[in-house]
Amino acid sequence: MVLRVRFESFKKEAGPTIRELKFIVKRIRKSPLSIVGIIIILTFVAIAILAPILAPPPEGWYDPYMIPRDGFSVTPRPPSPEHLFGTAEGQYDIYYGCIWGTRTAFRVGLIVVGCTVLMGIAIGSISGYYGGKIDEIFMRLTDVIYAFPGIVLVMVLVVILGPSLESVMMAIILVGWPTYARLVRGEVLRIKQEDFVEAAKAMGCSDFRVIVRHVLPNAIFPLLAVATLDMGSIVLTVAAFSFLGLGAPIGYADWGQMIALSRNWIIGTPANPYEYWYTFIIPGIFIFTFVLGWGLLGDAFRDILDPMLRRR
Amino acid sequence: MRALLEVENLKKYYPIFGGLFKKKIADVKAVDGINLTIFKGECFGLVGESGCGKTTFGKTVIRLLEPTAGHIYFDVPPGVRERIKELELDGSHTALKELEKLRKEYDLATYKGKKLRRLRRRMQIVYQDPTTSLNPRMLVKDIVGEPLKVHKLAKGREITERVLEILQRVGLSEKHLYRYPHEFSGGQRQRIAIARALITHPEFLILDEPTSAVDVSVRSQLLDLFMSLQKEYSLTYLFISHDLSVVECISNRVGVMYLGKIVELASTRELFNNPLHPYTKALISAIPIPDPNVKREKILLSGDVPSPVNPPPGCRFHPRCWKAKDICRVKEPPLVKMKENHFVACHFPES
Amino acid sequence: MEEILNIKNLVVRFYTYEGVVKAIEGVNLSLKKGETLGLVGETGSGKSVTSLSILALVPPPGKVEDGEIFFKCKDGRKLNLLKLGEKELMHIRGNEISMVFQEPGAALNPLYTIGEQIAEAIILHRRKELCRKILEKELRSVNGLPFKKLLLRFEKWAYKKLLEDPNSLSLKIVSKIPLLNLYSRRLKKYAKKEAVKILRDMRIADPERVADMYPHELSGGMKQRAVIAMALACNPILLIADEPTTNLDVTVQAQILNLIRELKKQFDTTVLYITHDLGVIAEMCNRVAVMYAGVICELAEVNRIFEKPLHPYTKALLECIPRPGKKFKSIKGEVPNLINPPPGCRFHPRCPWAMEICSKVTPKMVEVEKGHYVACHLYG
Repeated sequence: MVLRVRFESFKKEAGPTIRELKFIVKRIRKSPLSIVGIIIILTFVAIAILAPILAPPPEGWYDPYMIPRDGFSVTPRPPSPEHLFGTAEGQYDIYYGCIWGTRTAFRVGLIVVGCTVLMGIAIGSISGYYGGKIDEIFMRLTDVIYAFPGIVLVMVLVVILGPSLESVMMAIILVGWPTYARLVRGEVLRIKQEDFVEAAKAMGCSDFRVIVRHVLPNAIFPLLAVATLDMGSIVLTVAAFSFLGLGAPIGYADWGQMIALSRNWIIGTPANPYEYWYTFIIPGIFIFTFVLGWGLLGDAFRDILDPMLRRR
Repeated sequence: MRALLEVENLKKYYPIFGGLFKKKIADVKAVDGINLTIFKGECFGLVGESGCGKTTFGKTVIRLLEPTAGHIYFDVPPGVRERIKELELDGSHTALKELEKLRKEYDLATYKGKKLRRLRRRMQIVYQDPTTSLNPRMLVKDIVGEPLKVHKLAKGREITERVLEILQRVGLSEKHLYRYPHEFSGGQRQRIAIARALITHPEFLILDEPTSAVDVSVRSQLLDLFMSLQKEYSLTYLFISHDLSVVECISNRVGVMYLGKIVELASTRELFNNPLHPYTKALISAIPIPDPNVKREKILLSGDVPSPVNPPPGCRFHPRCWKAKDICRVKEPPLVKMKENHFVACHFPES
Repeated sequence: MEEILNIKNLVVRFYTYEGVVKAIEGVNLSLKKGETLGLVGETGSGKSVTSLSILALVPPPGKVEDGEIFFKCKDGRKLNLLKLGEKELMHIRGNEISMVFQEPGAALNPLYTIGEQIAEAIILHRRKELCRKILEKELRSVNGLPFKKLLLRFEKWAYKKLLEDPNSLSLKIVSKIPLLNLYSRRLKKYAKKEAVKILRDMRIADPERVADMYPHELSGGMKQRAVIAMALACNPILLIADEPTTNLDVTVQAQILNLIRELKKQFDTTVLYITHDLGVIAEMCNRVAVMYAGVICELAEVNRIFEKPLHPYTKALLECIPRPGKKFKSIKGEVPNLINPPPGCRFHPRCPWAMEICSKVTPKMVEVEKGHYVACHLYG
C-alpha cells in the first residue's frame, strides 16, 4: 500500500522531467549529426563494458591493462587471424590494446573532466557569488595559470610528479579547472541578480542553499556543452603525452601509448612506406572517432540548450 | 490601531566610487530620511515615479538591503516603544546602554545572521515580474514548499499538504503542483509567488508593483485575491506602485515619495480628493481617465524625473514646481501635519 | 476622409516547436487620413503582430499566410504592402510609415549619438532634397587658391552624382578612397542641422546639446522623444505607436501623449495607437478596435465604445477597470492557447452569454449601427 502511494507520487514527480526529456529527444531527432554522435559514444561505451569479453586477457594475467605480448621481436606483424589488428613493436597485440584502451579513455576522460568541472563549479560559484577579495584571489590565480601555455605547464608538472598516467591526469586537472571556474563565475554573476535569487534570500535561505539550490542549477548549462567537447580533447591531450613518453608506461592499454609504440614505424621501408600502417592508423581511428563523437554530442547539447532557453 | 511597523529616519545610500584610487565621490541617496508608521491590518500604498526610491525603501524595510542609517521597529510592544523614546531624550550613559540593549532586540536594522533569518518568517515580499521571481528549474511544489523546508516548519508529506492547501487558496489546483513556472501564464505565476510568500503565515507583506506586469483583466483578479487574503490571514500590506488608479482602490492610506523623501501622507480618500502637495496634484492629474467625455486639466511638469545622485538643494521638487519661490530653493520643507491624518512637506501647500 | 490603409483578411501564423500558433486569424481594419485609431487588447491578442505585419517585420518563425494590406503612398500610388520586395519596403519604412516601439532604448543604437541616428534616417530618405539644397547654397563659385577651386568642383560633381544616381560605380569608388570620401561630411552636417530642428519640434529643450548625447545619457522620456523624432524625421503619412508610454512614468506619459497630440495637428499624421490602457485610448483616439486572441471583436468610435460597448469582451474589459469603492470584477478563465484556439468564437469559453452556436461558427463582423462593427452572434 505504501509502496503504491510512493510509486504514484514518484510518477507525478517524474512527469515534468519526462516531458522535458521528450522535448529534448524530439529536438535531437531533428539533427542527424547529433544522432551520429550519440551512436558513436554508445558504441564506445559498449566496447568499454564488454572489453573482458571482446578481448579476454590471458589466463592469470597480472593486469588486464597491460597488453599481452606474443614474443619479443621488434618488427610489427600485420593483421592475421590470431591478431586481428596485427602487433606493434615488441609484439603487443593492437586489437587488445585498442579495446582496453577504450576503458582507459573513458576512465581518463571522466575522471579528468569530472574533477575539473567540480573544482570549477566550487571555485567559480564561490568567487562569483561572494565577489570581493575572494573573487580577486581566485581570479588572479586563474590569471597565473592562464599565463602559461597549457601544454607546457602540464609537461612541467608531469616531469615534477614523475611520468605516469595518473600524473598526467592530475596535471591536466590542475591546469584545466580555470576554464570552468571562469565559465561558472560568469553565469553566477548573471544569475545572482535575478529576482528569484533575491526571493530565496528573502525567504531566509542560507547562502549555501541559495548557491546550490537556486543559482547553480541555472548556471551549469553552458558547462555541459564545454564539458562534452572537453572529453574528446582531454583524451587527445593524454594520448599526446603518452606518445611523448610522459604518460602511460610502455605496454599500457592506451591509444596514445600504442601510437608511441609505432613511432619508429610510421615511415616504413623505402619500397612500401605504408607497410606498418596498422600500428598507428588503427589506434588513430579509435582516437579520431572518439573525439568526433564527443564533439558532435557537445554540439547537440548546445543546440538543445538553445530552444530550452528560447522557450522560457 | 496598533503600529506594526515603525520606521524612523531610514536612510539608504549607495556610494559611487570614482577617481584613480576608487574613493567615494558621491552617494546615490535612494532613501533619504523617511519616518513612517504602518498599522496592523492596514494596506499602506506607497506611490512615486521611477527613481524615487520606493522599491529600495520596501527592500530595506524587509532587510534585503542593509540600511545606511535609521531604525526599523517591527511589532514592538507599545510599552517598550515608549521606553525607547524616553531613553532617546535622556542622553545619560546608563540610558544609552539600556537603549542599545533594547535596540539590539527590537530594531531590525541591527539584526544579523540567524536572528534575521528567523525574522523572514514574519515578513515576506512579492515581486513585480513573476517570470523572473520564480526559479525556472524548480517545480511549483518545490518553489512554494521551500520556505517550510528552510525554516524547518514541516517535513515530507506535510509539506506537500500545506503547499496544496495554499495553492488552492490562491486559485490553483493539484495538477499544477508538478509543473515548471514557464508552463503557466503571467497571472498564474504571480499567484504562485503569492502562495510562496504566504505559506509561512507572515504578518507583513511587501507587494512590489505586483500588478504592473499583468494584463488588466488579471490585475483585478489579483487585487481581489489580495483583499480577501488580507481579511482571511489578517495581513498588513505595504503596496508599492506607480499606478495611482490601483493604489486608490486597494489602500487605506497613501504615501507619496519623491527623490527619497515622503512629500505627502494621508488617507486614500483624503489624498485623492484633496491633494495638497503640488507633485501629488500633478501626479493625480496625469492619470488618463477611461472616459472620453471627461477632460481633465492636466498639469504638465517641465523636465524629467531627476536622478537621486545630486538632489536639488532645498525642496527637492522645486526645479519642476510651478509655484517655487526663493525659500523653496534654500530650505527643505519638513513633513508637517495639515489636518487630521494628512501630512505635507511643502512651504506653500495647495488648499 | 480618404482611406490610407486597408488591411483585408490578414492571417499570420507562427511555426514553433510546439505547434502552429494561429496568431492572427482574419483581421480587417482600415485607417482614414488624419485620424487616430486605437488598437486595444491584452497580451496575446495579436495587436503587436498586426502592426509588425503592416511593415512586413514579423519575426521568424512567423509568416504572413494570407491577406492584403493596401496603403496609399505620398505620391498617390496604392500598394499592397505584403507583395512588395525588400527595396520598395525600405522606401516605405521610415519614410511613409514609421514605427515607435515600447522600449524607448531598444530602437536606439548605444554607439551613436542621437543626432547621428536621426541624421541617418534623414540621409536615407531625404537625400535628394538635401543634395539640392547643398548644391544651391554651399557650392557656389568661390575665389581663392586653385586647390580650393578643384576641391569645390569635385564636391559639386560628387553631389550631382549623388542626386541623380547614388549607386553609381564612380561614387562607390570615391567612397573607398580615404581623403576623397570626406565629401559626404557636408551631407552629414546638413542632416544634423535638420535633426536638431526636428528635436526642437519635439519640444526638447536645448536640442543642440541633446543631439550630441548618447542614448544612455538620456532618461526614458527623452529617449522616447528621440525615437519619435526619428520616426517623424521624414514626415511619414502613418505613425504606428506600439505601446510607447507603457514603460514610462505617468507624468512623462502625460508629456509624451501631449506631444503626440500636438505633432498630429502640426504634421497631419495618421496614428495607429496600440495599447492595453483604456485611459490612454479615451484620451488619444478617434476610433477604437478591440482585439482578442487574434481577431477584432469590436470597432467603433471612441465615445460609442465607452458608452455602449456591444461585444461581451469589451464590456468585461470596461468592467475590469478598478474603481475605488466598487468590488473588483474580472473575466473568468484564461487567454486561450493559440496553438489550439477554441472553435467558433474564440471568446466563447469565457463569455457569460455564450450560446450553442458560439462554439461552432466563427462570428463575422456586422455593422450594428453607423460606424459600429461587432463580431458576435448576439448581434447577427
